[in-house]
Amino acid sequence: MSGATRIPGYIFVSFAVGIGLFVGIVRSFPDQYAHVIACDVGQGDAIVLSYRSSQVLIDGGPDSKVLDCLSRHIPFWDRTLEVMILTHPQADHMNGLVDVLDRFTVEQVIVNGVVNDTAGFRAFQDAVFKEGAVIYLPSRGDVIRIGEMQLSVLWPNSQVGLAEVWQPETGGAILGAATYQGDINETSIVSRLSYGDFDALFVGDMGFSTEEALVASGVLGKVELLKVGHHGSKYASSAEFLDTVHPALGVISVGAQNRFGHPTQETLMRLDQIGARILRTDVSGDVEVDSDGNKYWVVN
Amino acid sequence: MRIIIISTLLIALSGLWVLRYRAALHSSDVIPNDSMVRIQGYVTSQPYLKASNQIMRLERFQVLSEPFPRFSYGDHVQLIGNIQERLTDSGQTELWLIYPEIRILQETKGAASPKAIRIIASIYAVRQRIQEIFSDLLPEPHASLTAGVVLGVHRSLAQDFERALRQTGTIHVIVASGYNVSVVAGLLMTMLGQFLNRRWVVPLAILGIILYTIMAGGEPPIIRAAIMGSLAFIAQFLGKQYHGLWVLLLTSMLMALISPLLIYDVGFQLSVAATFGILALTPTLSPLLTRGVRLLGRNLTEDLAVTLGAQLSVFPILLVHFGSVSWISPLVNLIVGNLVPVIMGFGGLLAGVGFLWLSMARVVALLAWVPLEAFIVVVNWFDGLPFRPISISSQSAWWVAAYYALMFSWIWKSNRYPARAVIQVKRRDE
Repeated sequence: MSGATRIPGYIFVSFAVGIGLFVGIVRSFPDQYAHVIACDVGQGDAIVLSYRSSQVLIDGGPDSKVLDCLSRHIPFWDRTLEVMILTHPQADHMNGLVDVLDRFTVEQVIVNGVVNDTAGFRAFQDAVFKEGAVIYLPSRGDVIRIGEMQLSVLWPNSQVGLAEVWQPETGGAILGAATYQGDINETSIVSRLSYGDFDALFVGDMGFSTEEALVASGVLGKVELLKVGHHGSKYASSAEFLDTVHPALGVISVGAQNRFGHPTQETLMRLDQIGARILRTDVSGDVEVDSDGNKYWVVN
Repeated sequence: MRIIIISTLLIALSGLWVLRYRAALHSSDVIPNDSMVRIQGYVTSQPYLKASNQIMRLERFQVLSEPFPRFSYGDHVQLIGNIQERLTDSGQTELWLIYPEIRILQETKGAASPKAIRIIASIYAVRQRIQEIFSDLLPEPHASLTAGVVLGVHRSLAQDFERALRQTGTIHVIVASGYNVSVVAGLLMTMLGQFLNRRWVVPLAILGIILYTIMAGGEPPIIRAAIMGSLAFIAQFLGKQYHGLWVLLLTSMLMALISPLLIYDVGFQLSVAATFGILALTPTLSPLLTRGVRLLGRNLTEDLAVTLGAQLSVFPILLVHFGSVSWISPLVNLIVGNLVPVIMGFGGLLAGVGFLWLSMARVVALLAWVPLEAFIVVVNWFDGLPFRPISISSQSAWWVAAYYALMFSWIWKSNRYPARAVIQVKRRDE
């Protein structure tokens, strides 16, 4: 079709590209706020935490949609993710991470030693080994610092699963033996982001029993933002748990018309009862909340 | 005398086409719907991901499977599943296997696989590597757009952006076709011409076109362009005149003869119609435009003539297949048209440098980002405008026939012998 288009003069092109690049870099230059973004990845979870030029990705959703979200919220010249966290190895949290590992430089991967013996898990494992990132199995008390942001691990209590899963020499061979027998949702890595006075809690797909254990342990405090557990399932976000963390904002990462009926009326009611404002990715697309460490606001 | 020979040839070819068409129709329905099958064979398309599924072809079967493990072209596999018949938009029956049980037969695709499959598999491996370079260094949809412009790969494009390209009538930039062929051939001619005798340059350039055609996925538009481009080079080499319209007619008839159901393929229809528009309608429009649009300058007016020639010729096809056509399409094309060669240049450079020196390629990627971002911003901006597209509810073939009849007769009247319009192979670097 471009039969009559010509390559415009080289000088003009160089000039235009130079100016365009300058404007692009200036416009994309990071601010001094902490950003929490729940990506619209359909039915699944993918959350970006970003501060200046550092980013943490918690889960990657079910497919490559997470890449579009990263492109929208990371400067175009930044091809590095400082930290990747897989809360638990199920497809709707894990599969998109394979594409992220393929395309970005990932410095550190935080993951449990539990195995979900699926083709997706094997692909994720291969991609992590190929990336050569530092692999870390977390437990309560661990703190990850990203600039002025601080991410504290609240769950699991102690390392779960087998560390051998994440050693390249043994990792591929022991999948069958290391397959997790309990409810894999309850192994979700739970972490709290603190930036000044702003706190946000990310709970993966944990259900009532882990919530109960966390409430009992006394590590929970009030937070401004809660990533609502398990896409708003009725078996998560108990009244007691919500009362303890008392979030002002409840972010639900969920796909439109999903076959699980998420989020459920029960959970929405419980969130309503504590007066939380509900933000849903199926309604609003990417949900972004920014904070300067003192105030926080929902970005549209 | 010449007219008689040509008409006889055309009639004979059409007769042959009818025979082959009927044969093709009857051979396609031997497997009953929902029957359980076990199939062994080679994956014969590069698998692509759509939402959370992987889609590939196994000879005549379409396969939809889980996203992992990822398969590639040339894998020798065994499938067990139920056949499902699905009608395509153009009314053909496709045989699908949905989530079949898949087993890879040989981990080492080696000795046993046919030579043709091995050759194509290695070409696809190069393509895969180029796509990886793009996607490692560029964000989305920039990386996929580059892969589309340079290689004609358009499977990985984000759905939102693909819809925006369709809505603004710019989707053709991610289909490899004539422009890509002319760039590849021009580049090869210039480079090889430095070292080799002209006698060798032309066959090597044609070999380059063939390799590129395979790499671009071998879809109908690029095959048409490759045949026409190669013929143009041969004509140029032999010092013969090259009659674009006759070559177009012959090429499309030849392709339809080899694969009769091709005439239902939207890509084939659009490609032939757009080429016809540029060869016949554009020269007819140009004189009118230069009178009317003085203010645009010569270059922009030429661009406008090409855009309008192509758009007016494909207009009924788009309307019939997709139900709507954008009013703003010529304007958007006029604006982004000049970005496409720049994107292609940077994309080619990025691929080349990426193979040799990845850290240098990062710098090239930053530069390439600029025209890509400009293209994306313009397309998304126009897509966001509240223009209602032209749409039709009834799909009547009569107005399509009337439209083309009017167009043909107008071209014929304004230009008694449009077929004589000699098309020169355009050198892009002039």
